[in-house]
Amino acid sequence: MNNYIEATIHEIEFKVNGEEISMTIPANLTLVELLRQELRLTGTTEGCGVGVCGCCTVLIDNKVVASCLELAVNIDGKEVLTIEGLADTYQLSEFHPLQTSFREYEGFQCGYCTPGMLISSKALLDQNPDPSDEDIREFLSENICRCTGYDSIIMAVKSAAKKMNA
Amino acid sequence: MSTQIPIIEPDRKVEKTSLIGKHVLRLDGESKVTGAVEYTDDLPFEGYYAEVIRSNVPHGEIVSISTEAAESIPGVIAVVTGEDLENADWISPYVGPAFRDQPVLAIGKVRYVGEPVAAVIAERPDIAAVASTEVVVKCKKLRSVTDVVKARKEDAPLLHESGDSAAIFEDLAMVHHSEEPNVAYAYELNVGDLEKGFEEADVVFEKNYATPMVQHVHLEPFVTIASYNAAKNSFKIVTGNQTPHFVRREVARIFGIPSSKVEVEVPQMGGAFGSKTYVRIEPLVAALSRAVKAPVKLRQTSSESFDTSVRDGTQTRVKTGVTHDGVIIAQEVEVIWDSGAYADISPRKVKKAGYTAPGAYDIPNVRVISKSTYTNKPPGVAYRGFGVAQTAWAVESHIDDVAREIGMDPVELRIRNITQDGGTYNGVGIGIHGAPQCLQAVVDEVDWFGTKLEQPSKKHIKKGRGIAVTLKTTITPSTSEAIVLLDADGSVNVITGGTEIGQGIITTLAQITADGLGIGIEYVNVNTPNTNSAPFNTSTTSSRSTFHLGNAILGAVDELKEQLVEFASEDLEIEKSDIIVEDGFVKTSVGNYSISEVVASHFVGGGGTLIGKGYFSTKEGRENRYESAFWMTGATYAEVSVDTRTGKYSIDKWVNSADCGKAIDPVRCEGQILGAAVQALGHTMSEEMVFESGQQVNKSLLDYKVPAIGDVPKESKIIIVESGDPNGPHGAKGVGESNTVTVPPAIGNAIRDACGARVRELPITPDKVLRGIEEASE
Repeated sequence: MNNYIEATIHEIEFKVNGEEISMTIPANLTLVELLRQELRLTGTTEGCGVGVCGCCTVLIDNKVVASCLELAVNIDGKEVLTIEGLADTYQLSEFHPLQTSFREYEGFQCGYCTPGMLISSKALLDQNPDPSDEDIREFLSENICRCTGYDSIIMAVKSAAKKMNA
Repeated sequence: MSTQIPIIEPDRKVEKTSLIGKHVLRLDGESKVTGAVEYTDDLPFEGYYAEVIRSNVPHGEIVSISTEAAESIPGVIAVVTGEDLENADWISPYVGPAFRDQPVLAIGKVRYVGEPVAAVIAERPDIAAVASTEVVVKCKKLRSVTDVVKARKEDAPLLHESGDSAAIFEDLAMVHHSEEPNVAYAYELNVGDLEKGFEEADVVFEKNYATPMVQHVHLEPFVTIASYNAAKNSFKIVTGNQTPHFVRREVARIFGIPSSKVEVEVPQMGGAFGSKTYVRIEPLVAALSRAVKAPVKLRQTSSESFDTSVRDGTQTRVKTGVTHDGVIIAQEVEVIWDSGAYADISPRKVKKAGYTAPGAYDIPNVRVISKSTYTNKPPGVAYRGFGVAQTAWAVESHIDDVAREIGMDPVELRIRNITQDGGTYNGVGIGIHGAPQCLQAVVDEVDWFGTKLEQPSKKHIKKGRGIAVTLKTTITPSTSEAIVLLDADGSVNVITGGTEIGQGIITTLAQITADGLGIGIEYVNVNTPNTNSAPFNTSTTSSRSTFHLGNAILGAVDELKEQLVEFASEDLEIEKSDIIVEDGFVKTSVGNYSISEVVASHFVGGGGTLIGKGYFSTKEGRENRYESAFWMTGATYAEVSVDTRTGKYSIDKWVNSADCGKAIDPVRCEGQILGAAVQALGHTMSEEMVFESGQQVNKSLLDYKVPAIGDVPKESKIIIVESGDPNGPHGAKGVGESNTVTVPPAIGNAIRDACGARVRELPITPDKVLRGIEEASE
């Protein structure tokens, strides 16, 4: 009974944070489940589970995606970036300037939304290296933070942009 | 070869500067920006997974629960029902901090839609989820009541037959159910002669105000892991909870075991805001683990948070008597709380928020009637602002209404009546609280009396401004203890029951410790709590941690210093009076030694640990001991533009002030002030749990809108007021809640000022503004 538990099995090959991985997964596995449960990359958090809070944001081929809504089979042949790989994207530094700036400006409190916020901010700076406050507000509109009140996040993103443009 | 102890040499050239009042990088910052931080759900886990089956009727008798279909699914270990727990000889399955009115799983009756009725335990979470849909619960529907007015009528269906105090907290020892139907607890405060006050008033004004149930929306949902050890009859519970010592006590009690056999560990939490207090899912997960004698994990979804803990809705009537020259001489506030199906901590809320229902004003004749009411809705729990957010919505809106009645500027009326530092409140002395300074700070910042807003050229856009101020208690009495372990290398470990919910307590406590010992903050490690080692802490609630844990740590540091003096005196054979501990050194008449030198040379065998203990309890020798260990105060100024055609409005500018006593770290204080304000922006503009036939219809962040980055006012100013609390560590006190209270009425007052619309029911949605404009023009 309950054949809906047993999903079809797929073999996929993909890259996470630069590392090539091939594995066999059930079709109903979501990307956030793959990252957190199968790969133990627990930096990506799951919040609302319905794709609106932004906690679980990752990049697939540099595009911003809510990993709670994305089926893991869809990353076959693609490249995923999570918070664990963020620092390596910047001159092989220990920290990405965004990470440093979020610390300096306390652009986080509980930290639960922070990985998603940082990944979205990276995508923003990739597209727009010198964003205005308004650009930041628009781009980060799908990342909810319940703690900070956001102003420190705006300052942190601007400061990181400045560091990267220097 | 003997063990070499690395000695931390303080930099003898650098002049010591205090860490108090300075911004330091958060000690948990690196782990949070790299994703390395571990929340409960991130911890490695081997065991079974649970899924909860919930009631789909608001009120009903449980006729039957069929579990066979679920149990036959491969991978399902067990299905546990309330009846199983009732029949088990190993659990007394009712919990609660004020009354023990809440069953761990519904027993006999269900009292709200979403109430846990049974739980499936399975090898995998997906199997548990699927199996849960196969559990069939049959209920005989009972008449339900979801409205606080109907709930108190004689013919209303009763949710609970009786209730006596759980007798855990001193301040709740006297609580009992009221004679009035469904009233869990009624509090009354009488000061002066109310009737005489109304007679003497020139104008008496009365209005009703309301707030809906809202939810905390902590982004990390409820996650608990419980592991029952059958050989020891003991539990280990890992959980996101703000009150680990209460969890330990309550779990120990329901299983009839000593609290030393319940180990509660609290990792970092992804937000809480009062939601993760007392016990939530911990007793259930512990019971499930006990039932199957294996570790069990329950990770609820974010939607299930709405089934688990909410903020009470309120209906408030305010009647105020004022003289023509603006002296408020009498006020009656009746606030009826929609506390949902179980009382949880609502009796304290009713009492504490009832006490400050008259706002920040010194009024000679006061009556407060405050009643927690059972309804067939999810249980109301603690939430940032602890009830004052609801009462202040009424009273701070009302003060503006009263000012208009007598033709006085609403801020002028506030200034004339606000309780002074060292003045009286509700007829008794109040000590230092900072409310007038917080109000004055925003008034000065915007030059309230000197400027007038310019109206835009577009006729349909109206600008307006408003102010609100608050005075709030903290949980009193309460206790915090701290252990500071000083190692032979001069570094320290701080052990307390204080939990990190995002507020930054780890770093704040490290600052106080490092400053107290005169060592670098990099040598201080502050632990998240485990009740097996952490000494008692009442709660991480009520913005009490900096004040209470900070004081406990100062006590522990003093004890360490006394021991250092003793050691140096023994080892150097000099008088104790010739020794002081200062700036990281043990300074003596025969030279200065580093702390590590003194510790390392005193012990043999490769090391040694000095133990400093600090106890801090607010029941003894304190001013205002019965009402509040300290007072939280703050004010908000809001400037709005209202589109009078659509009722839509924007907040163009705001100023938030709050009294920190002394800002241990100004940046972190600003984060608390703005964070509190923006959360309240949600309560003002959009947040409301909408119920239809007893069922919440917007139980997801898709439909329940919390503030996003674009909703925050672009022009913002935060003002830290430092009144210096006489009892606080370095004068500091809590600052996490004031602006959760002041933002909604400040915006409501600004909208009233802009377009004449007085919205008296939160949230202030455009349709209500339009209706208000129509009413104002009638």
